[in-house]
Amino acid sequence: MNGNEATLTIELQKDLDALRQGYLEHAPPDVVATMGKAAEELIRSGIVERTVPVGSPAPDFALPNAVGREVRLSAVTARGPAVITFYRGAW
Amino acid sequence: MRAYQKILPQIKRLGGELLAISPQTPDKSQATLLKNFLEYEVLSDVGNRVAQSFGLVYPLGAEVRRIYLGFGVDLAEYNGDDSWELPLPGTFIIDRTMTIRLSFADADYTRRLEPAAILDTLRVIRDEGGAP
Repeated sequence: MNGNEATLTIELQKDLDALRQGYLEHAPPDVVATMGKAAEELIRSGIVERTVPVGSPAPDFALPNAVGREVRLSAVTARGPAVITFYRGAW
Repeated sequence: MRAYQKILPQIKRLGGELLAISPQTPDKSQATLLKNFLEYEVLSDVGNRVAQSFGLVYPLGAEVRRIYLGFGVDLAEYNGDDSWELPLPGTFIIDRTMTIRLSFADADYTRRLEPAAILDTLRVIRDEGGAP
């Protein structure tokens, strides 16, 4: 675990907790059970502890943006700090 | 995604840039941008290659796949591959020396890093900038 959780404030978390509560109330019980089991397995897999930690070198990359233009991380950080956030997708 | 959009002006004032990365194809990323009125780069990491290098990728099991499909979410279509792998939601800040300065990931997909933590780290980096 990488320390930053200590700096969490509660506002966003409250929104997300409310969202999750809404989801759990409306989803069929078997779906909730399966998703819960999958989440537990994921936590037990130790994946969070294997993410790149503070102080290590960032892997450079070049990826296409929404209009297909390539964006390179090292080109961004040459200008200033880069905040990168991975998300699963908007379905 | 909208939570990060809200702090985008502050990120920029602190000299930072925001990049969002998902396994979706560029077409789907563009749809996400338009739907959410996002004003930052949304990058397409087809096959989760970059997410893998940050240690974030995991496969969805057969039961979970069936649930996704039941909700009409065919990841093979959205992501342009049939691996059924996803990245954990994770946020990192990388400084000019390409060093990781903030690292946050959570296996509980409903948890996210608070935007305030991002701004705190950017302030620390900015304050170092003037030092000899």
